[in-house]
Amino acid sequence: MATVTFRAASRIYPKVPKAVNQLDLEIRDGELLVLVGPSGCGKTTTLRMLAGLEPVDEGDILVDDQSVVGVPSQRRDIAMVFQNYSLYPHMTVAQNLGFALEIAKLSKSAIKDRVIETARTLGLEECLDRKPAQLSGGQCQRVAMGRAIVRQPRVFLMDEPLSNLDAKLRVATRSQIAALQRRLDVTTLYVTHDQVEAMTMGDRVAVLKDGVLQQVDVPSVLYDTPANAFVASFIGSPGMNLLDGIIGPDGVTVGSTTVQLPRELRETAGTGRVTVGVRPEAVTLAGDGAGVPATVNIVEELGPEAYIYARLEHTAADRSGEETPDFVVRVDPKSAPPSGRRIELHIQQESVQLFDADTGARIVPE
Amino acid sequence: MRALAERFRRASATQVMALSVLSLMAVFFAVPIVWAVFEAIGGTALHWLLNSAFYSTAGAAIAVALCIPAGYGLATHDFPGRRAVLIVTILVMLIPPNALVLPLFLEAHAAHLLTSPLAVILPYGLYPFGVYLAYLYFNTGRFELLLQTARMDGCSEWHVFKRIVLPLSLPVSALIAFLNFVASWTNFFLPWVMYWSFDTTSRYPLALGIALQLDTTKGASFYGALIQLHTASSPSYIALLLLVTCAPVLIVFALAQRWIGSSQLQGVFR
Ligand SMILES: Nc1ncnc2c1ncn2[C@@H]1O[C@H](COP(=O)(O)OP(=O)(O)O)[C@@H](O)[C@H]1O
Ligand SMILES: [Mg+2]
Repeated sequence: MATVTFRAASRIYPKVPKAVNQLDLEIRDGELLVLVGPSGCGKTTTLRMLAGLEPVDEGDILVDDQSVVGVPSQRRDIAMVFQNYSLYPHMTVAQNLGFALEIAKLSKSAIKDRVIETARTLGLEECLDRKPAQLSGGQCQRVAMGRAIVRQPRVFLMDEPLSNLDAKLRVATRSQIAALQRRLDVTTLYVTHDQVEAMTMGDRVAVLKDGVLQQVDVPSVLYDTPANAFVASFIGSPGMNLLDGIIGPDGVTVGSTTVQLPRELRETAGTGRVTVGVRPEAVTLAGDGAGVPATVNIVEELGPEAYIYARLEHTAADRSGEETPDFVVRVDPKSAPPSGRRIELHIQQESVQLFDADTGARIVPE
Repeated sequence: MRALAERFRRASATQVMALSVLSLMAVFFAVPIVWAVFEAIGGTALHWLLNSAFYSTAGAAIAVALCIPAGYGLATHDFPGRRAVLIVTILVMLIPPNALVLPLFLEAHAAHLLTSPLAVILPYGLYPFGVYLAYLYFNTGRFELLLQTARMDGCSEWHVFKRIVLPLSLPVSALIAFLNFVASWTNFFLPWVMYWSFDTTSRYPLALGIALQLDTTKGASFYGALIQLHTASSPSYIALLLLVTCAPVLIVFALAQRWIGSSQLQGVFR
């Protein structure tokens, strides 16, 4: 039972930009907060600062309104699941699970009870006498989890605990972890680079980029109203398409096609250049000459749906040097055009989002 | 010991029977051979053999006891002068051992250790190469991570060392012990300089004892005595001594190789 608060906390390694830059973040009691961002954005550093394995160079970190800066890891009562599990190789599973309790000088029988209970929760009863080298990847992952929960700590930290599992196991395990966390009701900071994991597991999701927090909110809000163009393109699979556009009297002009905009949005946007955001599902294909012309590059068939990766004609023409990403459209696989086909994209105006061309911040209609 | 008991518990009855019969047979054949050898080499040489065993074992034990904490400290803790200590260790390691014999002699002389066993034990107990090996072993990301894991589990520095570092240092300890044992067992020059000029034949290691078998009383040099086989005892006796000299190295290797390179860290990473 604990709350965690980062107050303008920074970690500065010598000679590189701040790994974590003025982070303000609150994790509520019993909450599963997922910290997500591309590789190298400072997620692990954030966790390690809270764990006490990395100093806090600026700002403060509070657990239950008490600063933990300067408190050694041993005394923070925080448990961490490392990305590579970091099991003690010379100990059996049972010894791995009981180690922290042994160090805390619990009685032998109390340790045994808690180890067995934890092993039962995680389905590890069969492996208790085995060494880590004799376990499968999934079992190692569960031992690492077990080692954290057996301690009943104030806070759980998990650093990409599923990244070493195969895709199927990852999907199965992520719902188990989320369910377990809800049952144990322990405040948890969960780190991943996988936005699907973040969106499916998190009570709330915090998006980090280059050490700077972009947005924290419940998954649906992140998806529907991203704070900026980065969050928009990062969240969702595939993410939001971002196009250069110019605001005109009727709407926004992309290439030579004008997309109508809701009146409030157009008025707030003013004039000039903007970044236009379009979700892959907010586009229909039509051949009436009024859409944005494009050429199908690749078609990805996923069974119930298909994604078209299309090259917009005006980007192919005016930016020959710079590679612009393909525009992604979700379509019914039965009506997916073959690659090489010329198509026209009709963008649904009510789902268009606009972002400031320079700062990337979302333009919120007044 | 526990591991051994464990293995016995798991072994089937047939395996236990086979093992017992084989052991009996081994003892049956080994006892006469060992007896014959020790009878043949006689009391004095046996004494030298035990001296050698004592010097080399003590040296290796001291080396392991010092190298593991030193290498661990250098690899995982930052303290003032750490780089300097590391550089000096590497430099000393690179000096040929024979070049250090004369300074060591003078040192031992100044410390009044010349006829003491310490004169041949300490130069091996202080083993910079072993420190470097231990340093390399502990200076890895996976080790660092294990230490951090243990700290998060509530371990004090002492607990970390006792519960994590020591058990995991077995492979590198075995390697250090083996290399150190072989080096001191086979060394001639250092004990020769330390002991030869004194009337301390009872302290001789086996290597020196063998040299004593060469008869230099007729004014011949070592080399002269060797080339004409002027020996104080029969050449076949010397040949036997040489064979006996080889045996312990083989035994120590057989014991150590189970752990040398055994992957203790297996299963840390996935
Ligand atoms: N020990 C270190 N020394 C210098 N820079 C580091 C160190 N550890 C991490 N960094 C840098 O800090 C940034 C964030 O790293 P990290 O927190 O590991 O990212 P993530 O876990 O999000 O992939 C990266 O740019 C990385 O290069
Ligand atoms: Mg990381």
